[in-house]
Amino acid sequence: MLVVNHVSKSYGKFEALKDINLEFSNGVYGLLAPNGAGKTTLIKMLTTLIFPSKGEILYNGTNIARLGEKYRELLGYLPQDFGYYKNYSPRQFLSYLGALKGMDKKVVNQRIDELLKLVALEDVATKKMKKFSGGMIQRVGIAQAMLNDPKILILDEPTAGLDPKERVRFRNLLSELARDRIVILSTHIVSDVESIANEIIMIKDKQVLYKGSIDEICKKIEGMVYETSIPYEQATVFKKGVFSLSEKQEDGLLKIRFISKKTPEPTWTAVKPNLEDVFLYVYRDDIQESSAL
Amino acid sequence: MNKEKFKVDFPSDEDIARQISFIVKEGLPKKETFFKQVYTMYRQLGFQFLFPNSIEIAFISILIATFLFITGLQARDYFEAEPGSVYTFIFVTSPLLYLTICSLSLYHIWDNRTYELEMTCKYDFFQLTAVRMLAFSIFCFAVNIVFIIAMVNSYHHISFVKAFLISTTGLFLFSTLTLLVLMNNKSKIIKISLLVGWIAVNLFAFIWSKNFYMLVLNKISVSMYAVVTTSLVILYINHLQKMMQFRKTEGVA
Repeated sequence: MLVVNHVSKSYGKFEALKDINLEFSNGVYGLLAPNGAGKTTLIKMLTTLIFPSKGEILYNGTNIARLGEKYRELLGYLPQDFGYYKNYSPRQFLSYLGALKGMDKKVVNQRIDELLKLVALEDVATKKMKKFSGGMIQRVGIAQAMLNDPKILILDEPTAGLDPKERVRFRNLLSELARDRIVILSTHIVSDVESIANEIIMIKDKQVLYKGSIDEICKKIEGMVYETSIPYEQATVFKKGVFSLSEKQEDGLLKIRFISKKTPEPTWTAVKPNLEDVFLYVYRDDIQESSAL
Repeated sequence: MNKEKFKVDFPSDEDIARQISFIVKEGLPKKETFFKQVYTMYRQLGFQFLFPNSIEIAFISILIATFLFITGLQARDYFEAEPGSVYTFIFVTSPLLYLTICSLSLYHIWDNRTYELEMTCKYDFFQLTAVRMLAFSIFCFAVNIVFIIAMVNSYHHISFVKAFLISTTGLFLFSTLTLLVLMNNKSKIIKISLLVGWIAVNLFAFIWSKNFYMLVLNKISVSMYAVVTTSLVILYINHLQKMMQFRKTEGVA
């Protein structure tokens, strides 16, 4: 079990994360927050790239900083900005990382064959990666993260560059992998985690805002999400009184999904909230700020 | 009244000693020596993965060595007119190859953005860099010796021992400084300044007060050079050792 115990991280006077407490056992965890919320800082602490300013991270009761290379042997990591040697082929690059991970050569070669097949790159296994598309590179990244059959798999924005078919394949793969390991998936794309995560962790104002199953988190706004159709000319006034989640044109009217704490009007239909509704509602200030930019 | 006598099943002294030694052994795994660690890494990674850009390194080494040999052998008029200046040349250029291949190796990692990934592996960036720097310094040391032999054969007024010690001092002074900056300074500007500053500072010192600079370099006795060189080599190995362990306690980024 991986335990984050009262962890804070500061850079000089700037506090990036404040008193984070989390527990991870086998399963998929979706770390969900907008860009700049501190997801990558938390991920970097979990991968020992940086250490907490306060608190500790324990794996099976021992501080991961003390475990050092023994912890890193259990770790699979896909960074947000995945770097690779352009002149290497996927096979060479995976062999290189296998050696750095301290794996036996025979095991590495066998594992590379399996993984390249799994990420559908067996046809280009010996081609130089400099000519690869973004999606192909990302699949190499996913393969390298799984190379040592890690007990803790940490993926930072793993679906960037993948097409819809690859995303589905990837999600299914993660669900299967999570049976006997911890999979932590950091993303700001709700659909990446909605179907596979056992638990969602939402970070806001440098702290953990929610941690729980999707159903538990959706309950936070239960009874507040509605849909209605209104003429376009009323849209501006209507949106001033509610928090709009999504809008689309339907039969000449504007069909709007929104959150309101007011007493519902007869034309409003209450709907079951989903994770995206919670995400949009929780981070409404951040989203408005970034769209204003 | 007869009191029942309790017998506590207490382990023997030998048992206690054995258990303590087992706990200590498990709790404090035996530290490998630096050279054993280097050897283990070489066995695990092999030459190809320890030096992923070995072709570039070989190419740049040939270029630098050719430049050194041509410049050193072509500047005969100047070196003969100013007998001490050849030692200045040897001192300033001694870490040139080391500087270039270290920069190339670090640039390779920076350019390919593999730093984060390599930091999360069993053998991390600092361990790899320590082994690479050790190998580069040995390689540069060998190239410098060949260069000095060529210079001694060409200029008969040069003392091999003095030239060798000056060259080794220059090489290990620069390499130790590089290690210190890499480990203790996070500012990229300072790191880059060191890489380009060595030649600039020496040239400036040479131009600013040629006599003083040459006096310092030429009047130091051979035995003093030997002491300085030995100290620098020990300091260098010591810091490479620290670099191997660096990540375990310090963290990065």
